[in-house]
Amino acid sequence: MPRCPRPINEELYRDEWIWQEGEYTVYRNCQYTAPGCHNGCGVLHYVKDNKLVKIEGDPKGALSNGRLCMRCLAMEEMVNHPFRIYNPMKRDPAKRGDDDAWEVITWDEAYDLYVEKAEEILGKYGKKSFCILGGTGRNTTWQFAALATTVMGSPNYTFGFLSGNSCYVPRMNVCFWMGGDVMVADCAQCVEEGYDHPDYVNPEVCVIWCCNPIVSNADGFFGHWIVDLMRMGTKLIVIDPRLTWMGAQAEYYLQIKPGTDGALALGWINVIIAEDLYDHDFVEKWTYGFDQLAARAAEYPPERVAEITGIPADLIVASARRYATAKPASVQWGLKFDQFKNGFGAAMGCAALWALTGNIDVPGGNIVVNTGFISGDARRMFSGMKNTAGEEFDMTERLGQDEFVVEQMGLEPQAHPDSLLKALETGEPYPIKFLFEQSSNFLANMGADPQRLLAAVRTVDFFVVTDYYMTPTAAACADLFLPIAMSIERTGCRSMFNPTRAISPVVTTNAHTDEDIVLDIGHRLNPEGTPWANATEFWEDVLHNIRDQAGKPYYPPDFTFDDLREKMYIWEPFEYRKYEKGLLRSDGQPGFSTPTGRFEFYSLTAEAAGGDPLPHYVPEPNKTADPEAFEEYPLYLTTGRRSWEFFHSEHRHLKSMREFHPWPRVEMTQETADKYGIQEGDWVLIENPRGSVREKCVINPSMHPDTIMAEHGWWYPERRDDISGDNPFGVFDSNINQLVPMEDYGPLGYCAPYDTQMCRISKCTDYHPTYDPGY
Amino acid sequence: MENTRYGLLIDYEFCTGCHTCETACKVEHGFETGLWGIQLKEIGPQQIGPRKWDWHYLPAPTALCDLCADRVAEGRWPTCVHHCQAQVIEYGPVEELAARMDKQFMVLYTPTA
Repeated sequence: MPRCPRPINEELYRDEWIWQEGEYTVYRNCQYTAPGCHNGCGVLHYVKDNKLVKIEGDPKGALSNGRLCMRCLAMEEMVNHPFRIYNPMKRDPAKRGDDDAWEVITWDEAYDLYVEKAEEILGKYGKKSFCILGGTGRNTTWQFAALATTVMGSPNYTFGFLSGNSCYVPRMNVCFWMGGDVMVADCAQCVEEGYDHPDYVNPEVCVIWCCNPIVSNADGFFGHWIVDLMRMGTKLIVIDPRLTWMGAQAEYYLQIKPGTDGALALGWINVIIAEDLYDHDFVEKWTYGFDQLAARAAEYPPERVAEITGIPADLIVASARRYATAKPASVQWGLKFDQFKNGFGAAMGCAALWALTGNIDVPGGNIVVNTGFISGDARRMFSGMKNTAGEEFDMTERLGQDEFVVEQMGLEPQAHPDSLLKALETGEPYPIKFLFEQSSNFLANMGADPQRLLAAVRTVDFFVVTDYYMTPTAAACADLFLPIAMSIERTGCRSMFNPTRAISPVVTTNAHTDEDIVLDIGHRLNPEGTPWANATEFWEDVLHNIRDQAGKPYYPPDFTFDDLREKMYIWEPFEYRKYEKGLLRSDGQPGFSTPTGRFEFYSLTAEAAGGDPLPHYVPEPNKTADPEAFEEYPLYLTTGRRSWEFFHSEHRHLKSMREFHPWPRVEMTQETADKYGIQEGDWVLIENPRGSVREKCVINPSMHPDTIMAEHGWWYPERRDDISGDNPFGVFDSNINQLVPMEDYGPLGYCAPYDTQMCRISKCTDYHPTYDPGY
Repeated sequence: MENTRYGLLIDYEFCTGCHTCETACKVEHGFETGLWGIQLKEIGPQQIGPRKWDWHYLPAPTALCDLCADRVAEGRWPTCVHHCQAQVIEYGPVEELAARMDKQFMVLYTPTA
């Protein structure tokens, strides 16, 4: 099946990166943030008089081939939005939360203030009192590391209060520890020919586990590839507490209790081994620890797994057989493995299944990806540089080093988000006095227990926020606001995974890119540590430092950004069955890049880190285990499922998106709604001992009556006249993370219970907001 | 041929309900809030057997659909066809499209006069 199913008009859709079409200059480009998203789809930008007039999907674009989601289609509204901020602003730290206290300043004044405050704090508390916060989805995967290490000389960069690093980091480490590299479901995305590649095979079965990829498009995976596969005959098995469209189309839909996926994985492994459905050849030649895995799985017969997961035993057995006997079969997994405390053990079970069935790195299976790691290679590059005093850089002083073995072992590149909160609150192990936030908005999203975060963050001496509009976080905490450039104003690249795509600026504004900001600060504060003149040079250096498994650079030293832009897409070499060909290990030997050289069912790395070396299941708090504790809070609460209209806390200010999705939604069955006297469309008060929020009831007949699903990331940009004080933009009216704790992560510091809270609900009668977009 | 009637063939077995057609249409035609050139309808979800669910989406062109006459004149596909994430909308002469209706869950629209 061709990726673009219909003829392409070659005059209108060209191979060049720029051309003139009537009154428009047309740029062939990659759409990658801000606004956020993980994909980097191919687009055409039609520009006139330094203004984006329209956007169209590029039918010749890799990956999505002209298709676009509704958020990209609304790009003109997004980038030309009246709420955007183009000039830096400062505010007296004593007046945090006072919207009238902002003063518009020039970039030079902003940088002067930055340098003045940085030098003051440096003199008093030292370099490690600086911490740079990152987010997800925006093109700032390494820039925050560069700012922290090479420019500021601090080992502290981390996610903006994402408890337990609970987004992809745990799953990536499962992949690294067990198999040496990241693995992902094969949809021919790593080969230029796509589905027409001679080696590609369509999977007979694809398991969709802990995700709804058509909406989430997470981790560089365009979810509608799965729909392509379905149209070519792939059957689905969908594992989700909530029926999705994909679940309804699936051959097997398994409605699982939140947080019990580890038991299901072990149950499947049990069936596959007991019924001798595993791939003997692969297991014998290429894996380590099969006997221990079999012994662990033997503890999970179908009846026991049924009791834990709520999935009927016969369905567990039948679906396990279907996955194991389909050739090939893949699993596309998702965020929710990272968002319950024992998700790491569940993710290990999921990964073990790929190897047990011989589906690792085969066409149509779970392929090993060791290309396209700009972020990883760049962070290594910056962490190896000298600090401001020209001394060798010491990462061992970062926050979390004394608490987490994975940090001590060097398995984690960044400081630990929960340790940052502790340092802010207690001054231990040392005080944090300067925060800089890139691409996150933790009062609305990502951070758990946001009211606690607000109090903690306000203890710092200086707080810098970079964003393209005023956010609750900036409104409540920031002393300096630096406006960032959006997608169409940036120079950069996207490569997660193949191919590497060029991002070219098509209009100029007074907002700055994250790279410009890092460089401008570096040139003032630490010229020696900032050898790059501009963003293009910065990016070229990053590209030159991308290396293959043998340490050889992919790009020659004379490779320029212009070369990339001319080509638009550069495909790094990809092969299947790399473990047979010596393409995974730095020594060039066959096998996997693990301590044993084999795919490790029994992970020696996990063991060395003090963790359970085998896939495991540990019960999360639940009603069956502890009925009394949950009398008052009888419902399972899941959070964070994605919406078509929004990327996390973004897009709430677009009237186009709010027409489709005006208010936050909490889904429940009719039975559950009836029980609590709630009708569809009512505002619902959702409470637990930690906090309470309001969202609107939507009936979903396919939920379990014991479970509700509440949306995340909500705030109300239209309430711009009411942003002073401690509830800016009404963020605490509806931000569901108020019911989720910080510092309650799983073993090893990975995974946090964003998805396994208990709650109660009631009809909310005193909340009647109206929507006026304000523009 | 001057009198050839054109239409949209939609394989709604694989329509995921992503709202791309609706948004693309609104942006292309500049329709204000409340106005639609194509509108998505939800069918289900209803349980139609043990462990069997019926849940589909069906995009339906409205009286405002002009099959993107301006785009087509320029040599482009109608915007819903071009951008559909599931690639389930095809544009063409009605007779050609009708000949391709060989499976479950297909619908052929003839929105223009």
